[in-house]
Amino acid sequence: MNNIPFCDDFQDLLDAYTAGTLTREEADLFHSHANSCETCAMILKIHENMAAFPVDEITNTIPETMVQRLWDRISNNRSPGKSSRRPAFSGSARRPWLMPVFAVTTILFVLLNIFLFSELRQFRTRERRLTTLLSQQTRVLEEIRDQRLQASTARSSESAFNKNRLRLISGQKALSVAELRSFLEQVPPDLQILTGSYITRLLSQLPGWERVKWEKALESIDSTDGIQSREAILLLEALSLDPNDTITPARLAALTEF
Amino acid sequence: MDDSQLTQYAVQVQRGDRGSFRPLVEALSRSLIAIALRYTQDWDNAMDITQETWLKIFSNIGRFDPRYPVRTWIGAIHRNNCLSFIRSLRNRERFAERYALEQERGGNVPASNPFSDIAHREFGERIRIAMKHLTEAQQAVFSLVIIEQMDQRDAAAILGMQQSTLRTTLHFARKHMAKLLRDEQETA
Repeated sequence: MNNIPFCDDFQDLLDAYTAGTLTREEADLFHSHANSCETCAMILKIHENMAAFPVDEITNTIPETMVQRLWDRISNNRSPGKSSRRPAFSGSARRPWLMPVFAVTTILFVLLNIFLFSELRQFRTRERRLTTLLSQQTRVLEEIRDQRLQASTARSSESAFNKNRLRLISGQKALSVAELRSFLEQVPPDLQILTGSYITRLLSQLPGWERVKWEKALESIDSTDGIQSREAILLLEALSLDPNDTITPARLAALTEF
Repeated sequence: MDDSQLTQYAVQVQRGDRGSFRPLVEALSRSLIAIALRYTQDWDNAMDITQETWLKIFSNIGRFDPRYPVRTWIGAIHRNNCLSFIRSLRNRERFAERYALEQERGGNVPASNPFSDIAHREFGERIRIAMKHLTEAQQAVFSLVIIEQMDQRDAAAILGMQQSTLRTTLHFARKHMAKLLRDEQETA
Protein backbone atom coordinates (compact mmCIF):
# COMPACT_ATOMS: atom_id res chain seq x y z
CA MET A 1 0.00 0.00 0.00
CA ASN A 2 2.83 2.37 0.77
CA ASN A 3 3.90 4.53 -2.11
CA ILE A 4 7.22 5.23 -0.41
CA PRO A 5 8.93 1.85 -0.14
CA PHE A 6 10.59 2.46 3.24
CA CYS A 7 9.54 4.52 6.24
CA ASP A 8 13.19 5.60 6.46
CA ASP A 9 12.72 7.62 3.26
CA PHE A 10 9.76 9.37 4.86
CA GLN A 11 11.97 10.93 7.50
CA ASP A 12 14.42 12.10 4.83
CA LEU A 13 11.58 13.81 2.99
CA LEU A 14 10.26 15.32 6.23
CA ASP A 15 12.99 17.96 6.39
CA ALA A 16 12.45 18.94 2.76
CA TYR A 17 8.69 19.05 3.43
CA THR A 18 9.26 21.45 6.35
CA ALA A 19 11.54 23.60 4.21
CA GLY A 20 8.90 23.57 1.43
CA THR A 21 11.31 22.22 -1.17
CA LEU A 22 9.35 19.08 -2.16
CA THR A 23 8.09 18.85 -5.74
CA ARG A 24 4.36 18.35 -6.27
CA GLU A 25 4.87 14.64 -7.02
CA GLU A 26 7.09 14.14 -3.97
CA ALA A 27 4.55 15.99 -1.82
CA ASP A 28 1.77 13.69 -3.07
CA LEU A 29 3.85 10.60 -2.29
CA PHE A 30 4.72 12.03 1.11
CA HIS A 31 1.06 12.62 2.06
CA SER A 32 -0.01 9.34 0.58
CA HIS A 33 2.49 7.46 2.79
CA ALA A 34 1.50 9.49 5.84
CA ASN A 35 -2.14 8.45 5.27
CA SER A 36 -1.28 4.77 4.99
CA CYS A 37 1.41 4.41 7.71
CA GLU A 38 0.34 5.15 11.29
CA THR A 39 3.88 5.50 12.61
CA CYS A 40 4.90 8.02 9.96
CA ALA A 41 1.60 9.85 10.46
CA MET A 42 2.46 10.19 14.13
CA ILE A 43 5.98 11.41 13.29
CA LEU A 44 4.44 14.05 11.05
CA LYS A 45 2.02 15.06 13.80
CA ILE A 46 4.88 15.47 16.29
CA HIS A 47 6.80 17.49 13.75
CA GLU A 48 3.87 19.75 12.95
CA ASN A 49 3.10 20.26 16.62
CA MET A 50 6.63 21.34 17.38
CA ALA A 51 7.12 23.29 14.20
CA ALA A 52 3.90 25.25 14.66
CA PHE A 53 5.69 27.94 16.61
CA PRO A 54 9.38 28.33 15.77
CA VAL A 55 11.62 29.55 18.60
CA ASP A 56 12.43 32.73 16.73
CA GLU A 57 8.75 33.51 16.31
CA ILE A 58 8.07 33.04 20.03
CA THR A 59 11.17 35.09 20.89
CA ASN A 60 9.82 37.98 18.90
CA THR A 61 6.49 37.89 20.75
CA ILE A 62 8.12 38.21 24.19
CA PRO A 63 7.81 41.82 25.34
CA GLU A 64 10.70 43.73 26.91
CA THR A 65 8.65 44.18 30.07
CA MET A 66 8.87 40.44 30.63
CA VAL A 67 12.68 40.62 30.46
CA GLN A 68 12.59 43.50 32.91
CA ARG A 69 10.38 41.47 35.27
CA LEU A 70 12.77 38.57 34.99
CA TRP A 71 15.74 40.83 35.75
CA ASP A 72 13.98 42.14 38.87
CA ARG A 73 13.44 38.58 40.10
CA ILE A 74 17.08 37.65 39.41
CA SER A 75 18.33 40.82 41.12
CA ASN A 76 16.24 40.07 44.21
CA ASN A 77 17.63 36.59 44.35
CA ARG A 78 21.18 37.79 43.85
CA SER A 79 20.93 40.27 46.72
CA PRO A 80 22.01 38.61 49.94
CA GLY A 81 19.21 38.28 52.49
CA LYS A 82 16.42 38.64 49.92
CA SER A 83 16.55 35.14 48.56
CA SER A 84 13.05 33.96 47.78
CA ARG A 85 13.66 30.61 46.06
CA ARG A 86 17.29 29.64 46.19
CA PRO A 87 20.31 31.77 47.12
CA ALA A 88 22.60 32.73 44.27
CA PHE A 89 25.55 31.96 46.47
CA SER A 90 25.69 28.67 48.28
CA GLY A 91 27.10 28.35 51.80
CA SER A 92 30.49 27.28 50.49
CA ALA A 93 30.66 30.34 48.24
CA ARG A 94 30.10 32.64 51.23
CA ARG A 95 32.62 30.75 53.33
CA PRO A 96 35.32 29.62 50.91
CA TRP A 97 37.41 28.19 53.78
CA LEU A 98 34.64 25.79 54.80
CA MET A 99 35.18 23.08 52.18
CA PRO A 100 39.00 22.90 52.47
CA VAL A 101 38.74 22.76 56.29
CA PHE A 102 36.12 20.05 56.06
CA ALA A 103 38.23 18.11 53.55
CA VAL A 104 41.38 18.39 55.69
CA THR A 105 39.45 17.36 58.82
CA THR A 106 38.02 14.35 57.04
CA ILE A 107 41.45 13.31 55.74
CA LEU A 108 43.00 13.73 59.22
CA PHE A 109 40.19 11.74 60.76
CA VAL A 110 40.68 8.91 58.27
CA LEU A 111 44.47 8.94 58.80
CA LEU A 112 44.04 8.93 62.58
CA ASN A 113 41.73 5.95 62.33
CA ILE A 114 44.18 4.10 60.11
CA PHE A 115 47.00 4.86 62.60
CA LEU A 116 44.94 3.75 65.60
CA PHE A 117 43.84 0.57 63.90
CA SER A 118 47.41 -0.31 62.91
CA GLU A 119 48.59 0.38 66.50
CA LEU A 120 45.83 -1.78 67.89
CA ARG A 121 46.75 -4.54 65.48
CA GLN A 122 50.45 -4.34 66.49
CA PHE A 123 49.48 -4.32 70.15
CA ARG A 124 47.38 -7.43 69.69
CA THR A 125 50.21 -9.18 67.81
CA ARG A 126 52.63 -8.26 70.60
CA GLU A 127 50.17 -9.48 73.21
CA ARG A 128 49.84 -12.82 71.41
CA ARG A 129 53.64 -13.19 71.21
CA LEU A 130 54.06 -12.36 74.90
CA THR A 131 51.34 -14.82 75.89
CA THR A 132 53.06 -17.57 73.89
CA LEU A 133 56.44 -16.70 75.42
CA LEU A 134 54.98 -16.66 78.91
CA SER A 135 53.40 -20.06 78.49
CA GLN A 136 56.71 -21.44 77.14
CA GLN A 137 58.60 -20.00 80.12
CA THR A 138 56.04 -21.41 82.54
CA ARG A 139 56.45 -24.82 80.94
CA VAL A 140 60.25 -24.60 81.19
CA LEU A 141 60.04 -23.55 84.86
CA GLU A 142 57.71 -26.43 85.61
CA GLU A 143 60.12 -28.83 83.90
CA ILE A 144 63.06 -27.44 85.94
CA ARG A 145 61.08 -27.74 89.17
CA ASP A 146 60.14 -31.31 88.31
CA GLN A 147 63.78 -32.15 87.52
CA ARG A 148 64.97 -30.61 90.79
CA LEU A 149 62.34 -32.47 92.72
CA GLN A 150 63.32 -35.71 91.06
CA ALA A 151 67.05 -35.03 91.68
CA SER A 152 66.42 -34.17 95.32
CA THR A 153 64.34 -37.30 95.80
CA ALA A 154 66.97 -39.40 94.06
CA ARG A 155 69.76 -37.89 96.15
CA SER A 156 68.00 -38.38 99.47
CA SER A 157 67.07 -41.94 98.56
CA GLU A 158 70.66 -42.62 97.42
CA SER A 159 72.07 -41.18 100.64
CA ALA A 160 69.75 -43.28 102.73
CA PHE A 161 70.70 -46.31 100.69
CA ASN A 162 74.42 -45.74 101.24
CA LYS A 163 74.03 -45.22 104.96
CA ASN A 164 71.97 -48.37 105.24
CA ARG A 165 74.54 -50.20 103.21
CA LEU A 166 77.33 -48.96 105.46
CA ARG A 167 75.41 -50.04 108.48
CA LEU A 168 74.80 -53.42 106.89
CA ILE A 169 78.45 -53.83 106.15
CA SER A 170 79.45 -52.66 109.64
CA GLY A 171 77.33 -55.37 111.19
CA GLN A 172 79.27 -58.04 109.35
CA LYS A 173 82.84 -59.26 109.54
CA ALA A 174 85.84 -57.02 109.36
CA LEU A 175 86.54 -55.28 106.04
CA SER A 176 89.84 -55.23 104.26
CA VAL A 177 91.34 -51.86 103.27
CA ALA A 178 90.73 -52.76 99.59
CA GLU A 179 87.06 -53.49 100.27
CA LEU A 180 86.69 -50.22 102.16
CA ARG A 181 88.30 -48.27 99.28
CA SER A 182 86.00 -49.98 96.77
CA PHE A 183 83.01 -49.02 98.92
CA LEU A 184 84.19 -45.40 99.15
CA GLU A 185 84.56 -45.21 95.39
CA GLN A 186 80.97 -46.36 94.92
CA VAL A 187 79.32 -43.83 97.23
CA PRO A 188 78.86 -40.13 96.21
CA PRO A 189 82.17 -38.21 96.54
CA ASP A 190 80.70 -35.61 98.94
CA LEU A 191 79.21 -38.14 101.35
CA GLN A 192 80.56 -37.33 104.80
CA ILE A 193 82.41 -40.26 106.37
CA LEU A 194 84.08 -38.79 109.50
CA THR A 195 83.14 -35.66 111.50
CA GLY A 196 85.75 -33.20 112.84
CA SER A 197 85.02 -34.16 116.47
CA TYR A 198 85.42 -37.85 115.67
CA ILE A 199 88.84 -37.21 114.10
CA THR A 200 89.94 -35.33 117.23
CA ARG A 201 88.72 -38.19 119.49
CA LEU A 202 90.37 -40.77 117.21
CA LEU A 203 93.69 -38.99 117.32
CA SER A 204 93.55 -38.84 121.14
CA GLN A 205 92.96 -42.59 121.34
CA LEU A 206 95.71 -43.61 118.91
CA PRO A 207 99.09 -44.62 120.20
CA GLY A 208 101.88 -42.06 119.74
CA TRP A 209 103.57 -43.45 116.62
CA GLU A 210 100.23 -44.07 114.88
CA ARG A 211 98.89 -40.62 115.86
CA VAL A 212 101.97 -39.01 114.21
CA LYS A 213 101.29 -41.04 111.07
CA TRP A 214 97.58 -39.97 111.05
CA GLU A 215 98.41 -36.32 111.70
CA LYS A 216 100.87 -36.35 108.82
CA ALA A 217 98.32 -38.01 106.54
CA LEU A 218 95.61 -35.52 107.59
CA GLU A 219 97.87 -32.61 106.56
CA SER A 220 97.39 -33.60 102.92
CA ILE A 221 93.61 -33.03 103.13
CA ASP A 222 91.32 -30.41 104.58
CA SER A 223 89.68 -32.10 107.58
CA THR A 224 88.24 -29.06 109.34
CA ASP A 225 84.68 -29.84 108.23
CA GLY A 226 85.09 -33.58 108.56
CA ILE A 227 86.11 -36.05 105.88
CA GLN A 228 84.02 -36.81 102.76
CA SER A 229 84.28 -40.05 100.82
CA ARG A 230 86.73 -38.68 98.23
CA GLU A 231 88.97 -37.33 101.08
CA ALA A 232 88.69 -40.64 102.82
CA ILE A 233 90.20 -42.32 99.73
CA LEU A 234 93.09 -39.81 99.81
CA LEU A 235 93.52 -40.45 103.53
CA LEU A 236 93.75 -44.22 102.93
CA GLU A 237 96.46 -43.55 100.34
CA ALA A 238 98.30 -41.15 102.66
CA LEU A 239 98.27 -43.71 105.48
CA SER A 240 99.87 -46.22 103.08
CA LEU A 241 97.83 -49.04 104.54
CA ASP A 242 98.22 -52.56 103.27
CA PRO A 243 95.17 -53.42 101.11
CA ASN A 244 94.88 -56.70 102.94
CA ASP A 245 94.83 -55.12 106.36
CA THR A 246 91.52 -55.51 108.06
CA ILE A 247 89.37 -52.94 109.77
CA THR A 248 87.50 -54.43 112.67
CA PRO A 249 83.69 -54.17 112.98
CA ALA A 250 84.14 -52.13 116.12
CA ARG A 251 86.10 -49.53 114.21
CA LEU A 252 83.57 -49.56 111.42
CA ALA A 253 80.77 -49.10 113.91
CA ALA A 254 82.65 -46.13 115.30
CA LEU A 255 83.04 -44.78 111.76
CA THR A 256 79.32 -45.00 111.05
CA GLU A 257 78.03 -43.98 114.43
CA PHE A 258 76.92 -40.64 113.01
CA MET B 1 24.74 41.51 20.05
CA ASP B 2 27.29 39.10 18.62
CA ASP B 3 28.85 36.11 20.40
CA SER B 4 32.24 37.73 21.05
CA GLN B 5 30.62 40.70 22.79
CA LEU B 6 28.48 38.40 24.92
CA THR B 7 31.55 36.35 25.85
CA GLN B 8 33.33 39.57 26.79
CA TYR B 9 30.52 40.43 29.22
CA ALA B 10 30.75 36.96 30.75
CA VAL B 11 34.51 37.38 31.25
CA GLN B 12 33.91 40.71 32.97
CA VAL B 13 31.40 39.09 35.34
CA GLN B 14 34.04 36.44 36.04
CA ARG B 15 36.44 39.22 37.05
CA GLY B 16 33.92 40.59 39.54
CA ASP B 17 32.08 43.20 37.47
CA ARG B 18 28.51 42.37 38.45
CA GLY B 19 27.16 45.18 36.30
CA SER B 20 28.08 43.23 33.15
CA PHE B 21 25.57 40.55 34.07
CA ARG B 22 22.60 42.70 33.14
CA PRO B 23 23.49 43.11 29.41
CA LEU B 24 23.86 39.32 29.23
CA VAL B 25 20.40 38.80 30.75
CA GLU B 26 18.84 41.42 28.49
CA ALA B 27 20.41 39.97 25.37
CA LEU B 28 19.62 36.30 25.90
CA SER B 29 16.53 36.15 28.13
CA ARG B 30 13.96 36.31 25.38
CA SER B 31 15.37 33.34 23.49
CA LEU B 32 15.78 31.42 26.77
CA ILE B 33 12.15 32.08 27.73
CA ALA B 34 11.08 31.02 24.25
CA ILE B 35 12.99 27.74 24.51
CA ALA B 36 11.62 27.08 28.00
CA LEU B 37 8.13 27.82 26.70
CA ARG B 38 8.55 25.18 24.00
CA TYR B 39 9.55 22.68 26.67
CA THR B 40 6.83 23.60 29.19
CA GLN B 41 4.14 25.39 27.15
CA ASP B 42 3.49 27.54 30.18
CA TRP B 43 4.59 31.15 30.71
CA ASP B 44 5.05 30.95 34.45
CA ASN B 45 7.09 27.78 34.25
CA ALA B 46 9.13 29.22 31.41
CA MET B 47 9.87 32.30 33.52
CA ASP B 48 10.76 30.18 36.58
CA ILE B 49 13.12 27.96 34.58
CA THR B 50 14.79 30.93 32.92
CA GLN B 51 15.30 32.62 36.28
CA GLU B 52 16.75 29.39 37.63
CA THR B 53 19.10 29.24 34.65
CA TRP B 54 20.39 32.78 35.23
CA LEU B 55 20.94 32.16 38.94
CA LYS B 56 22.86 29.00 38.09
CA ILE B 57 24.93 30.86 35.54
CA PHE B 58 25.73 33.62 38.03
CA SER B 59 26.78 31.09 40.69
CA ASN B 60 28.92 29.07 38.27
CA ILE B 61 30.34 31.87 36.14
CA GLY B 62 33.82 30.88 37.37
CA ARG B 63 33.53 27.62 35.45
CA PHE B 64 32.91 29.30 32.11
CA ASP B 65 35.74 28.77 29.61
CA PRO B 66 36.12 31.98 27.51
CA ARG B 67 37.56 29.98 24.61
CA TYR B 68 34.04 28.82 23.77
CA PRO B 69 30.93 30.96 22.98
CA VAL B 70 29.00 31.89 26.11
CA ARG B 71 25.73 31.34 24.24
CA THR B 72 26.53 27.60 23.90
CA TRP B 73 27.44 27.29 27.58
CA ILE B 74 24.28 29.08 28.71
CA GLY B 75 22.19 27.04 26.25
CA ALA B 76 23.50 23.76 27.74
CA ILE B 77 22.66 24.87 31.31
CA HIS B 78 19.22 26.05 30.24
CA ARG B 79 18.49 22.82 28.35
CA ASN B 80 19.43 20.76 31.42
CA ASN B 81 17.11 22.88 33.53
CA CYS B 82 14.25 22.40 31.05
CA LEU B 83 14.82 18.63 30.87
CA SER B 84 15.01 18.42 34.66
CA PHE B 85 11.72 20.23 34.81
CA ILE B 86 9.89 17.90 32.46
CA ARG B 87 11.43 14.83 34.11
CA SER B 88 10.18 15.96 37.49
CA LEU B 89 6.88 14.40 38.44
CA ARG B 90 6.18 17.22 40.88
CA ASN B 91 6.44 19.84 38.16
CA ARG B 92 4.31 17.81 35.80
CA GLU B 93 1.65 17.59 38.47
CA ARG B 94 1.90 21.30 39.04
CA PHE B 95 1.55 21.84 35.33
CA ALA B 96 -1.47 19.54 35.20
CA GLU B 97 -3.11 21.40 38.09
CA ARG B 98 -2.53 24.75 36.50
CA TYR B 99 -3.71 23.44 33.17
CA ALA B 100 -6.92 22.09 34.74
CA LEU B 101 -7.48 25.41 36.50
CA GLU B 102 -7.06 27.30 33.26
CA GLN B 103 -9.56 24.99 31.58
CA GLU B 104 -12.05 25.59 34.42
CA ARG B 105 -11.67 29.32 33.89
CA GLY B 106 -12.39 28.85 30.25
CA GLY B 107 -8.83 28.78 28.96
CA ASN B 108 -7.66 31.88 30.79
CA VAL B 109 -4.16 32.05 29.33
CA PRO B 110 -2.23 35.12 28.19
CA ALA B 111 -3.26 36.27 24.77
CA SER B 112 0.34 36.15 23.64
CA ASN B 113 0.71 32.46 24.54
CA PRO B 114 1.37 30.63 21.27
CA PHE B 115 0.31 27.36 22.92
CA SER B 116 -3.12 28.61 23.92
CA ASP B 117 -4.78 26.01 21.67
CA ILE B 118 -5.84 23.26 24.10
CA ALA B 119 -5.47 20.35 21.68
CA HIS B 120 -2.04 21.56 20.74
CA ARG B 121 -0.98 21.87 24.39
CA GLU B 122 -2.42 18.50 25.22
CA PHE B 123 -0.45 16.82 22.48
CA GLY B 124 2.67 18.75 23.47
CA GLU B 125 2.31 17.49 27.02
CA ARG B 126 2.02 13.92 25.76
CA ILE B 127 5.23 14.38 23.77
CA ARG B 128 7.07 15.63 26.85
CA ILE B 129 5.86 12.70 28.95
CA ALA B 130 6.89 10.25 26.23
CA MET B 131 10.34 11.89 26.04
CA LYS B 132 11.16 10.34 29.41
CA HIS B 133 11.23 6.94 27.73
CA LEU B 134 13.84 7.88 25.14
CA THR B 135 17.50 7.07 25.67
CA GLU B 136 19.75 9.84 26.93
CA ALA B 137 21.26 10.43 23.47
CA GLN B 138 17.84 10.36 21.82
CA GLN B 139 16.52 12.85 24.39
CA ALA B 140 19.43 15.21 23.73
CA VAL B 141 19.02 15.05 19.96
CA PHE B 142 15.23 15.34 20.17
CA SER B 143 15.52 18.35 22.49
CA LEU B 144 17.92 20.24 20.27
CA VAL B 145 16.53 19.44 16.85
CA ILE B 146 12.80 18.98 17.44
CA ILE B 147 12.01 21.17 20.46
CA GLU B 148 14.62 23.91 20.09
CA GLN B 149 14.57 23.52 16.28
CA MET B 150 18.31 23.88 16.09
CA ASP B 151 20.10 23.24 12.82
CA GLN B 152 21.31 19.61 12.67
CA ARG B 153 24.91 20.66 12.02
CA ASP B 154 24.94 22.98 15.07
CA ALA B 155 23.28 20.32 17.22
CA ALA B 156 25.92 17.76 16.19
CA ALA B 157 28.68 20.24 17.08
CA ILE B 158 27.13 20.95 20.50
CA LEU B 159 26.65 17.26 21.27
CA GLY B 160 30.12 16.40 19.96
CA MET B 161 28.88 13.79 17.50
CA GLN B 162 29.05 13.36 13.74
CA GLN B 163 26.13 14.67 11.72
CA SER B 164 25.43 11.18 10.33
CA THR B 165 25.26 9.81 13.90
CA LEU B 166 22.90 12.60 14.87
CA ARG B 167 20.66 11.84 11.90
CA THR B 168 20.53 8.15 12.81
CA THR B 169 19.81 8.95 16.47
CA LEU B 170 17.10 11.41 15.44
CA HIS B 171 15.57 8.82 13.12
CA PHE B 172 15.26 6.26 15.93
CA ALA B 173 14.11 8.91 18.41
CA ARG B 174 11.24 9.92 16.12
CA LYS B 175 10.23 6.30 15.50
CA HIS B 176 10.42 5.46 19.18
CA MET B 177 8.41 8.54 20.09
CA ALA B 178 5.78 7.79 17.44
CA LYS B 179 5.41 4.24 18.70
CA LEU B 180 5.07 5.42 22.32
CA LEU B 181 2.39 7.94 21.40
CA ARG B 182 0.53 5.41 19.27
CA ASP B 183 0.59 2.83 22.05
CA GLU B 184 -0.65 5.44 24.48
CA GLN B 185 -3.40 6.44 22.08
CA GLU B 186 -4.50 2.83 21.66
CA THR B 187 -4.51 2.24 25.41
CA ALA B 188 -6.61 5.36 25.93
